[in-house]
Amino acid sequence: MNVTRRNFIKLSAAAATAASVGINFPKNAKAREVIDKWVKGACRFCGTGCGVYVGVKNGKAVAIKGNPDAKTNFGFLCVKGFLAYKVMYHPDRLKYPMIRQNDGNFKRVSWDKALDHVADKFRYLQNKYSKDSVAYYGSGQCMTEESYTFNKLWKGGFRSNMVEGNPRLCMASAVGGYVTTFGSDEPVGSYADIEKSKCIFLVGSNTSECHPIIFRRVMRHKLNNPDVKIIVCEPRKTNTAKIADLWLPVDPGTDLAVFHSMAREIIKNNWHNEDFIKNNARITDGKNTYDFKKYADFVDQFTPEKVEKLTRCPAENIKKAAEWFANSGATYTMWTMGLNQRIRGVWANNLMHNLHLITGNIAKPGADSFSLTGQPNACGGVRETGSLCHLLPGTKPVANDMWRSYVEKAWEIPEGTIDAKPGFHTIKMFDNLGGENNPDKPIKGMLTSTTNPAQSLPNLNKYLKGMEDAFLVVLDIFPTRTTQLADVVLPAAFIYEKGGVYGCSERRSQLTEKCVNPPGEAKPDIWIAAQLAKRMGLEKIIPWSDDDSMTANEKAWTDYITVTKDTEHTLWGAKYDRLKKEPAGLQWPCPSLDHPGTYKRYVRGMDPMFNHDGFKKLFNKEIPSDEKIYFYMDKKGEGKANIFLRPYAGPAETPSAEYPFYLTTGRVIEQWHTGTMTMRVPEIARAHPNGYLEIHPDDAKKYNITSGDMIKITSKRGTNILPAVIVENSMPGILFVPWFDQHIDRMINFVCNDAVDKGSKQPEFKIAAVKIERISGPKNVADRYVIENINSEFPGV
Amino acid sequence: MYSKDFYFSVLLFCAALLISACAVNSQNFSEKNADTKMKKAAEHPIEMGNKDCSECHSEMTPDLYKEWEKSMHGLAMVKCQVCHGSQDNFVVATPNETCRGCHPGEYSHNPKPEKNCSSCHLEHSFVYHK
Amino acid sequence: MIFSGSLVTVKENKLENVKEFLKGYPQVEIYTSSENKQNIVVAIEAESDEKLEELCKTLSSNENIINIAHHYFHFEEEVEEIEKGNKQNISLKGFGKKKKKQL
Repeated sequence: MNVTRRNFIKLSAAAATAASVGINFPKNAKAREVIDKWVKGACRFCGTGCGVYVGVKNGKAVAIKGNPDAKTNFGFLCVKGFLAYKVMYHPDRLKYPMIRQNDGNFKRVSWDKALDHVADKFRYLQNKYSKDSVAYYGSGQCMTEESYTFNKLWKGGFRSNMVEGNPRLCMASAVGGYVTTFGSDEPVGSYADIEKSKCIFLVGSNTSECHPIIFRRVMRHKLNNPDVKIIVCEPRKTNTAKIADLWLPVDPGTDLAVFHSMAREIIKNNWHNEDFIKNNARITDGKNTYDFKKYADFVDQFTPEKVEKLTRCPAENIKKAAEWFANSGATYTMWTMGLNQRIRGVWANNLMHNLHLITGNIAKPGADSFSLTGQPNACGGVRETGSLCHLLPGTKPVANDMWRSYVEKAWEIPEGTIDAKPGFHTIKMFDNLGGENNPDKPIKGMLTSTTNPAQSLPNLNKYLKGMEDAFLVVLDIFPTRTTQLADVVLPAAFIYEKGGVYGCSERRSQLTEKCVNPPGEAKPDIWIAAQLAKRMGLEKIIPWSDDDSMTANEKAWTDYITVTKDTEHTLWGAKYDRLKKEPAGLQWPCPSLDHPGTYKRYVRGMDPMFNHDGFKKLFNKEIPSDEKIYFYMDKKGEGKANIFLRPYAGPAETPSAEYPFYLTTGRVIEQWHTGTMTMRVPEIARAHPNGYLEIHPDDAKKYNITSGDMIKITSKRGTNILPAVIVENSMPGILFVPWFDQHIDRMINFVCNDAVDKGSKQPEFKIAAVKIERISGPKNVADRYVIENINSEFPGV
Repeated sequence: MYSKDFYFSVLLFCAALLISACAVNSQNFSEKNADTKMKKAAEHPIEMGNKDCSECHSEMTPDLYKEWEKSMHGLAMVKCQVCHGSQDNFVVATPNETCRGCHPGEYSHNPKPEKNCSSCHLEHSFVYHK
Repeated sequence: MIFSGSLVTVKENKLENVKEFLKGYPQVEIYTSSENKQNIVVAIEAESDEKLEELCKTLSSNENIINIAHHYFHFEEEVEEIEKGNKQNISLKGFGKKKKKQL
């Protein structure tokens, strides 16, 4: 008997013995490796872009582990990614296409019937009303190939720019910031700068819970290099601040003053980098250019003492932050929604970039002004493919005649097909969505995928009726608040059931290969899009209707990288075969098969666009050969970035006599967005079975609130009832509610503000003025509430 | 004398008897030793309800909880349920496959794969201790 | 060759002692122990059931071992040997005694 068999027999004997008397038997790795194959992919959640391997056994996903070769996470995962696969086999998975009947209930139908119904209805609406009467609302969680396909179908096929996506709600201001400051979207550097930095500034981000694996890298860097300074600027002192050397508390919406004040301190103390500013930047207000003195004079009014009065951020802290920021040698800033979900989100982004430009903390190792993306594929799938109402693939505007014409040629459609006029941004789109009987609502139909607007839009009360009245087609994997308002529900495949590319915050595209088949009759979005195109006579536009999702994906991807191959976003070197082999994906610009991808943009020797003839010819770019750092997307063609003179502006709503509190919203590590997936995973649901209201002890005392009491929270727009959690996290006067709970009483977006940034059109989720009222003692609301029944109704709609 | 088959059957029959006898014997013994509550393999001693583990354990097992909080897992917010599961899949001794999820490199280069990770990386500080 | 999956019950606080002691017997492989530290799960390899009995008797002489109980047997090889006709004078010793115990 050979050794292995002998060992196996002994192991079985021991295991059986242990089991018979209830002793926990730790599994022996060698004898019990049960995985058939490990398939490379990306994590389903957050913009970090962790690399994973999905363990498949007998055609089922049974395990996930991190990819140790991935340059984002180095093998680590957070609890969400770690348990993602459990979501795939949940009994609530939607498996069959359904059409809502007259009695209000859904009836299962065949795919043919469902697709015919949708195609017919879309065609009817487009013919009767206008080509813009049917909209697409996508998601930063769809695969790049899917978003690209729907975008092409709508803009190239229907000739309609009514294409939007939920990144409008999270990243639009960051896009606005990058485009106005540098001329091009997305960061200059990469996560790799973390380990090279000397000072890390975390602002408007609860990194420890929202980008846990990035936080882990920051934490490790600090533990290994105690001299590295960590500054956190946030209204809440979250778990992130545990590793901070300095916390800058700041009233919601007032941080622009803090950034101006930091700039003032830097200039006053002569800590700014005059040479860098002279060579690489200009001072502008968006219209005119000024000299540096004008900027210095402008920020001079923002003395730390004055700003302390305005923001409650201690003057000493501002001064210290400015000193560390300017003098560290390499400062790296990261932010997310705290700066983006604001009516002055673009300005907040500009001011962050300003600080980096005036101190020369950009385009060098360890230094960058880095926007953390919230969703796994907002960058790759929506921003880069131009799946927003005003863009085309390559992130160039539809209004740009040259680019429109170029794309038309690439798509082989007649010149003039693509509409030059942008469509409606998200809030405007939903504001104009309604029934056929409502002449004020020009958008009569909508197809939405992988997002849950009936819970994720701010000021929900305003938009629910429109969704209910319109012809709403929803692609999703579970029943949600949005399927409750849908007319047609199409069961979607999950990422590991279809495969595709995700592009994360650091410009890195990673391919997930299909691991297993979807359940029931669920289908990938890309197949659904192709089928609709076929039925609407647009098969030429979407010639990839293959049943095999990876085949269709590859065709769509090839189409996409062909169109964008001479742009600064080029992924021409990231052909599918290569992406399959690359252990860590590829960062654009990646112009050729032998190019390793780009760690840092705008630096000669690191950025291939300096020598990219196709790019320079197409866009008439001349890059002087002696320039080491050159912002070649500068609209003025001078290779300079813009240091913006932005006035101070506060939030849309500030506390008043009637609404005396600030409400801010956010996330917790376990729950993702509206909890449709994570609330269905037992380990995760247990950590946070319900939404809650964080309140400062001083405020709780004033209102006679003790822990667990039920509180009614009200804004001008709506109300919630939540249990109180008394913590000293925030400053007094600031309340916090996480937004993952689907329960009708605890969907905080009923309360949130839909006022939008004038430039980016991104809503101000982060700030609302509210009042509170204690309505009762504690109630058990640890529901782990999920919408299980597809036929359940949306209360009150 | 008797056929091979006969001996074979007797052997099997007696072996079966022997096994069941021993099983009964040891069950009696285990029952005596493991108190009267005969647990199923891996069960949380009381109903968890919908509570987060920390709600009880921060008070019931404060030293353990503090140890975890100060550890890398605490800082990274890898909470109890990530390693120990929820009500239905509760485990006391976390199997190495769970650790593999976030530590795949270490798992595949484990110098002692037959041992449980926690036998050297002591819970809940996770400090390496030989 | 017979393989058994067995439970070694030990005196209070003597778990580590017994584990060390068992390490001196290469036919015994330790797999795990119970949470209450009173039982060790082992697999024992023996040439025959007599040899197994002998070994268990020797082991039980250790004052810290209260009991060794077998839960699982694997005797595939034994059957093969009998069928091939390699085993003569198969002893039924011990079975009758145990049967009586059972009654």
